[in-house]
Amino acid sequence: MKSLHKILYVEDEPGIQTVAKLALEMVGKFTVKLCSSGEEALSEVAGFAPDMILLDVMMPGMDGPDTLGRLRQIPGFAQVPVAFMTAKIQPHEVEYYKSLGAVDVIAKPFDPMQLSNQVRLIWEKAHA
Amino acid sequence: MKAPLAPDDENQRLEALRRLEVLDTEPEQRYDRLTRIARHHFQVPIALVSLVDAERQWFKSRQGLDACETPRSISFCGHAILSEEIFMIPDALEDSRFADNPLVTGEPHIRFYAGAPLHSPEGQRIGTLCIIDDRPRQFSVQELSVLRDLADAVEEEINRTELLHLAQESSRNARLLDAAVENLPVALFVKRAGDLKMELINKAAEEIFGIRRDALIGRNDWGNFPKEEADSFAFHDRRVLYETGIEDIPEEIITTGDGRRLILHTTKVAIRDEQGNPQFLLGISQDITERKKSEASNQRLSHVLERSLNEIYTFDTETLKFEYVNEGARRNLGYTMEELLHMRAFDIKPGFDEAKFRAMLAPLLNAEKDRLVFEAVHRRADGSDYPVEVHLQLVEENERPVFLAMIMDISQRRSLEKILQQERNISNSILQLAGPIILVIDEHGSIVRFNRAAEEFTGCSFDEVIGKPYIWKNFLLPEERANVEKVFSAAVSGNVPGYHENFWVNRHGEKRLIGWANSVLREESNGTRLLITVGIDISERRLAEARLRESEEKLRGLYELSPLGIALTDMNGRYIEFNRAFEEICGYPLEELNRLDYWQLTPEKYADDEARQLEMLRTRGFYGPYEKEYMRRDGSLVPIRLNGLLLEGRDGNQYIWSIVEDITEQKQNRDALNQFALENEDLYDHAPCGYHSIDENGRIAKVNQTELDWLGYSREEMIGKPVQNFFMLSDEAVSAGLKQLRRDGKLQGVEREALRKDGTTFPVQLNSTAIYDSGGKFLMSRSVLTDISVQKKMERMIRDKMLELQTILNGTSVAIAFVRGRRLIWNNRRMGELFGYSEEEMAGQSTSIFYKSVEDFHSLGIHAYAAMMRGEVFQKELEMRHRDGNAIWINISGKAISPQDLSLGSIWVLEDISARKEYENALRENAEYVHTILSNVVDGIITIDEHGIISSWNPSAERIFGYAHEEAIGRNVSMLMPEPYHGSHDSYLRNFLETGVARVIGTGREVEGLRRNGETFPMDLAVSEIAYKGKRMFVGLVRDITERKRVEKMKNEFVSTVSHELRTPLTSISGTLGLLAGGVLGELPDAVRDLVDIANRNSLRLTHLINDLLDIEKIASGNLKLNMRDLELMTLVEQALEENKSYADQYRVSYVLAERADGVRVRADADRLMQVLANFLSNAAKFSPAGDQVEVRVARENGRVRVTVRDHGPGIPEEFRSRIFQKFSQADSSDTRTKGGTGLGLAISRELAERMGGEVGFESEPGQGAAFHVEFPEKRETASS
Repeated sequence: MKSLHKILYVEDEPGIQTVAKLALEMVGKFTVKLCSSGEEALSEVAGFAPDMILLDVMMPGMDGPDTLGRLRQIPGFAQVPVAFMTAKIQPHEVEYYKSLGAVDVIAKPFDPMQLSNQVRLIWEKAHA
Repeated sequence: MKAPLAPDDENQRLEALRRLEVLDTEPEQRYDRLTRIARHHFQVPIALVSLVDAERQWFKSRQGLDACETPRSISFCGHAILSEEIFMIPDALEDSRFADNPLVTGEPHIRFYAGAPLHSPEGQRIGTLCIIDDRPRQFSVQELSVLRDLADAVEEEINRTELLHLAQESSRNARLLDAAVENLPVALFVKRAGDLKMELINKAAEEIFGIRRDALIGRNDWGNFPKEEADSFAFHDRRVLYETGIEDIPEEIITTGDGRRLILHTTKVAIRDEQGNPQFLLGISQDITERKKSEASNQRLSHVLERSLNEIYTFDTETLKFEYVNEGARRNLGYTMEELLHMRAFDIKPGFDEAKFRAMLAPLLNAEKDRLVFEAVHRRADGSDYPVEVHLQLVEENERPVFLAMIMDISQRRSLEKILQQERNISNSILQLAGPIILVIDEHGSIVRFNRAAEEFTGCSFDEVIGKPYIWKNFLLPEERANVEKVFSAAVSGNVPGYHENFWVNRHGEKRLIGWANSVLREESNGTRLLITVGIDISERRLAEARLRESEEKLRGLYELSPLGIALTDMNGRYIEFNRAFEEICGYPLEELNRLDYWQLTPEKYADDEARQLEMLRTRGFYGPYEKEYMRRDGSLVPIRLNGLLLEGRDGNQYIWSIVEDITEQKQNRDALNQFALENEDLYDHAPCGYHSIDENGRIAKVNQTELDWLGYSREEMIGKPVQNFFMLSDEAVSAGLKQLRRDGKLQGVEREALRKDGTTFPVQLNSTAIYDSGGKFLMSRSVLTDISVQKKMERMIRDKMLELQTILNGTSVAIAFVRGRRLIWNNRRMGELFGYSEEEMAGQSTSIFYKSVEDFHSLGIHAYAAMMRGEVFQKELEMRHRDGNAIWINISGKAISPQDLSLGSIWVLEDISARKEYENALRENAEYVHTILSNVVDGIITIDEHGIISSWNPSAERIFGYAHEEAIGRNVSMLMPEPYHGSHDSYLRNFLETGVARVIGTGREVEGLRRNGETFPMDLAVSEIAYKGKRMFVGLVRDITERKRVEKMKNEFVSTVSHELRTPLTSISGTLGLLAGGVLGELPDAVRDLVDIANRNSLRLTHLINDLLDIEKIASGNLKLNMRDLELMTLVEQALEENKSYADQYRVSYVLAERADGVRVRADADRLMQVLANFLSNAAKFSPAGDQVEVRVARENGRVRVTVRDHGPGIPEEFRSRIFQKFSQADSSDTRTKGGTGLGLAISRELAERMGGEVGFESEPGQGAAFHVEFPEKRETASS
């Protein structure tokens, strides 16, 4: 199984961007490319070529599910594992995300010390 | 022996012989003279004139022989006639043809025979002159010639016979002709050609011309007639003789010798000789004066015929096609004149073909009969049939015969006859009346009577149960059979219980309690006992809504629409109320009528009549029907028929209800018929009713044939005799009748006994009218008699039948009455009990006494008699009146004895249903109460039947779906469902009905509904199945949850938004603190570190609080979704310990798994079970002293498995124990600050555990710590997950 190195992280909230990027880089030792919107992610993804993508749901403009839909249309990214990171985690919402093709959902607020573990578990799940 | 052959011309020969009329005649001298000469001349013992007939020879003259004939087969003459020659046998013994002939071997021992043939005038050989000797001889030629001469002489005598005959005949013919001419019914005269002198004139001519024949014979003019007429006759005479040869003068007017004016139909013919020269003038004249007059009279009559109510028609004798059909017949038959003219007389007679019809007419055409009276059936254009009596005769119309038919509709008589035939079934029909079950069981337990009610109740037909011993046990409950059998045994042994009750199971399998009234009848004929038992379903408290009384409007409408005038007056004759028909009859508008009183409408001449009717009204409570006239507003008189009754108003005053019928048209028809009858004597005589007239002295002046036939007298025996001789009448009655007739002009509907000549009597009804002369003086009465024996007999018979059935009828708990003309003719005991009247009070009474109001009486009458006329059983529940004035609810049913003739009466059954009505009223009130509730509930309530058809629909359903009650009822419920439910609903329902597998039934669940406007909406649907009146029905409760859904959605959005908005900032805060506390950014100074820890813990607490709040909300709103699977419990417990270890570390507490239950499985949602365990573990850690151990045990017990978490903390205070699992509960509010937590954890744990089918609990001793547990049923079988 290929190991996880590069994560494309899409989040509009600057506070969470900082915490999550720190936690992933410092604790998980991942290479993180941060995008502040779905549009940005779509333009950066091909150049960055991430192993996995983390998507916020509620974003102004193109939201998480939209972004996922568009990503899947870009050649070479139909299979890249995607997880949503969101505070909207009512059961029907979780079901909805998974139906869109997300591997799993990481609930906000998250434990920064456990975040990298969670991401790695999702990665493994995607490749199981 | 050889028998003689027949000659070739045998037939002509025998014919000639017969024509001579000589066989078997007396001996005649002229023949005997010749045979005597022959015998003497030839010296023979025997000489004969023998005539050879078909089988014999007969001797016209015989000498020396006694026999007058011998068989032809042995005759010698039979041979002699075969040839013209004289036939001679010299010695018969020597001749093989005759040697063994009995005339040769026996007497007269013929040896010699010589026969000369005799000829008829036409030349046929009919016999011989023969001589016979008893010794052989031989004749010379001369002798033979003498024989021939003698034979010729005989022949001459024979020929003279025929001439004699001819002379006699022609003289007879001449006499016959003279007599015929003389006696011809037409005038006949003969004039000589040339001088035109009258040669001959017959008796009829003498009579018609009114001139003696001596005055005409020999004269050559018509001088006895007026000049103009004589000239005309002479002109015709000449023209016929010399120009035309024949002339027909259809109408010749003559003035007779005795001064009469006649119309003759004369035909004159010239009689010519062989050269064609006129010899005589033959004239024939017929007196057609009467015919001409009657033709005129016929024209007058034809109008009456046309208007006659009877059917009258004529048809051609050859083609049988209708030629004339009167209006009555056209109306009865329903054809137009045009249609009828293309039809033949037998076309309206079903069952007749042409051959049969012609055969029937033959006796009329052959003049064997002058009239045919027979019964037949006529078929109307609409296909319906009615019985008729046909009077058919051959009449002359326009000088040719046609058939004239007069038809009486005898439906009524027919139905009487039919009823007579049904006499035996009357008792049955009473038993068959709706109402109680009636069984008649014989000693052997076999059912012999089983009425319709019984059939309906049990579903078994009479045929299925008759004669099967004890089959009635099948209708009983098994546990009651023995008891009922005891009752039956007791009954047939004479110990009959008057009443008993037991259950019967009806056709639907429902058990019904029946009350039986029993009686035993001993059959006269064979002495066997019959148990008669009458059962009423006393458990029958039907839930059916009572038929509401006819509304006032309806009755009012009826009253207004009635073609009969109806008026209410007070005893002073003032009009209080009247309907439109009444206004029309008397010609006054409403406002004027209001001010009038009865006497202003009544001509003075009726004063006495009115007094009598008023007297009747006072004594009997009703009056009429009688006929009188009203004075209309315009002064004209209108004939009416009146009847009415006395009514006591609520104010205690008496009022009179009158029914008034305008009988102008009926009277006209009646008068026209009377006129017609008088004008047509024949019809008068043969009318199907009797007619007679009585003069002022009470003597029969005139009587028709029908009445004579009925009474058995000849006309001579009746005319001039006192009427008392023929009717059972006293002298006083006769004079009183005549007096009344003189005064009133008529006497209607009188019933009398007619007295036949043989002394027997029969009942008749008489309708008489007075005939006055032009000066107004009473001349005579004219009476029409109707034989009413049949009606009378019927009445007696029904009474007798009723009396016969008295045992049964008196024993029943229902009232039974026989009613005629709305009067009580007979009733059983129960009738009196029911209404509180004694037999005397009820006898002959109008049934109006049983009704609450006269309106009820009339209304029921109209409906009941209409139904009975259709042959139906009329049935109604209504409030009637007890003698004491109280109302009683009665179920009344009635049936006509004969639907065709209601005057025969009807049979009624009345059942007291007051108790049931009370019950029904209570039920109705209850139903109204329930209905009110149902109408006001917010839930839609819909009932559907097995086919999904909506049968009830409450106001809320109207509101929810937008369909009005009447739009929804009767439609399929699938209209309330959007696709895909809509299309599949029927199959759901069918599937459920077949398999009992419910998709919706019984469960409350959320489905989509479809409103009338096409909008879909969410609804809660709960369906339950009920059995109603033996049918499966489904009741659906529908709740529109659109609003609830909207609020729910809003709340979900709100919760989602709130949690998102809270979590987003919290994510940054807790993330930052987490990184700091985790040392990711390097070691912190101790003071900073402590502060970061505090901040970090509180941010986690906030996260938990939010999560807990969301959980509680989910649980409360029912939105919690569980993912139930079979789980390996130990794995889960170990995982929980692992995940919560870091939390315990914070309190320096360790978890110890003190007891395991490896392999044990439970069914639960893994995440939620983990949540419960985490809650217990964190609480235990929180409340444990630092350094302490928390023990975790997993144990199985009695099929359950329990996870216990025990700490050694302070324990649960006594006062808190009861609230520990409630929301926001903490033993000490300071705990929130010291220990953290939301106070929701245990509440959530309990909810989650219970929803997963488990339960939670705890044990605690203060100061000794606490042990919380969660337990689940152990999942034993390995199930796939």
